[in-house]
Amino acid sequence: MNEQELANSAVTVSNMLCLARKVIDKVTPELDVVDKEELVSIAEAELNNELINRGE
Amino acid sequence: MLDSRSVVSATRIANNAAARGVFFSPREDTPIAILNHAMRPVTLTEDRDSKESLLENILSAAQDNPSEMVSMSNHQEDLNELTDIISDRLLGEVGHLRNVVNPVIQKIKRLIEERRSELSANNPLNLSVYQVIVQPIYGQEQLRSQLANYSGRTTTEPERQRGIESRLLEDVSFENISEMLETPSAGFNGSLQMLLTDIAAGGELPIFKDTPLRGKEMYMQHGTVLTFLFLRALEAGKHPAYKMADLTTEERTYLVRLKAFYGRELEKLLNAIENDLSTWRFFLGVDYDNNTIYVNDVKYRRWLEEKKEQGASMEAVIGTFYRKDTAPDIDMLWDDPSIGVKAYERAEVLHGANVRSMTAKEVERLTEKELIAYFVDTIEEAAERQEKIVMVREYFKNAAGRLYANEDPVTYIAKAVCKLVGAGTDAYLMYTEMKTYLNEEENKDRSVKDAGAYAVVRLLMRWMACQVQKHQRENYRHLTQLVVGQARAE
Repeated sequence: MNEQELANSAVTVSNMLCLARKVIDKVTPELDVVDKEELVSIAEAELNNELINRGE
Repeated sequence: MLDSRSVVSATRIANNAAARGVFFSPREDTPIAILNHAMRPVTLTEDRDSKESLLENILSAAQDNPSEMVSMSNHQEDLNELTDIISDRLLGEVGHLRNVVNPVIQKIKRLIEERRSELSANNPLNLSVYQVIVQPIYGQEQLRSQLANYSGRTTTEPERQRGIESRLLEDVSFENISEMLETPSAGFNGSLQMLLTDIAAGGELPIFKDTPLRGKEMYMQHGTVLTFLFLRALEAGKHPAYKMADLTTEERTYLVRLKAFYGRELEKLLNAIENDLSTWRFFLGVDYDNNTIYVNDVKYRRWLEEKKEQGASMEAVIGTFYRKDTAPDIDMLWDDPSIGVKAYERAEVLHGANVRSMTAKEVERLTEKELIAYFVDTIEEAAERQEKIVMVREYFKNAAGRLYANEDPVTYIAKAVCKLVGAGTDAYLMYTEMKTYLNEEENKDRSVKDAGAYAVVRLLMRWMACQVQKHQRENYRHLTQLVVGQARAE
């Protein structure tokens, strides 16, 4: 366990959020939703919730 | 290629997790593992407080650099490809929920509502109390005085001559009857207008028809009074088409005798009404086919006022008459109306519970039947169709297929449809996410469309979270400084 593990952890979460953002960009027109940024904020909050507050 | 907002947010999440000793790594062969492998390794700089430390390193590691052969693939290409795959799957889920699952839910909901309406209509307590008005014209002194000539006379009904009766009615309608029957008395004319308004609701003028001398018909059918007034007006020359002089002697004689007969009949009617009004008994009849109990308006209101303390109420009346197979104890309504109220309350508990229980069973039965019908209609291949039908039957045999008393029927239907029609999809998860979203007070102004978008994001992030594993470390305390330093750098 070292700082590198934290860096890798951050890389993993970065890829998750980046992929989520791009997916939201793509599906938003189909969902007929105007406020895309609100969905991105929800995605960030949900990921934080899923990863930190919930068990394995 | 990563965007800086995602990396900043991700670093915050990773730091928060690290502060609890939790770290993440992608599960093998998942989209996140592919993306991680497409990046160059990230290393931390020695200067932990540097703004460039983690954020810059991660952004840089995701940039494609053709001169370096570290990465086995291109991060941006992988990101685009995975975005397409996941978006298509997500939109497929939404489309299936919208176009396949939801119409089945709506159809079953509609059938359940129709059935519930039927059951409610069959509830014996589903009776209304109709207050029959006593037309003021029957209390008009002027009417009494017009009858003075017939009082006490024995007047037999003349042999009816329908021909002359029909001819006299040809030119009479609701438009001109009022003018024909009016007198110089404003009070009488006011009562006449009320009577004609009541008659107009029935659609035809009951001239030359008789009013029964008992029951609700005595107050609701007005043939006798209208015929008498009509014949008087004819005699006075107020008919729109005929004068008495235009008629033959035989016809005139017939009409005079007929007027005398209706005069006598009207006197009997007024006496019957007077007698009836002198008692407290307000009940006029019950029509179980139309779920209506008829009461005399004047006497019913008087009873409600006088017996209020003892329980006089609509419930007491319904409680007395709701049982078709038992003779009602009408005197009890006067002696102790609370007995009727108690009967109503007992029946309400009994039949209310029956309706709910029947509905629960029928919800189960209807849902199962409709789901089987859905698979029969939509699957052509016999073996596959049979497999689905077995799946439906199994579902309803188990506890999941039961509708419990504390369960919302709509949620029950939605769950069954999502689990069976939406088997192999996340339809139920999305449905419950939408429902939860719309039930929250802060979202009370939000639309179903908003709830759908929220459910999509929730589903997406659940998929994402499933792609990583958590590692709990014991010796993480020495990282606190790094975490704090990194947080400041942001």
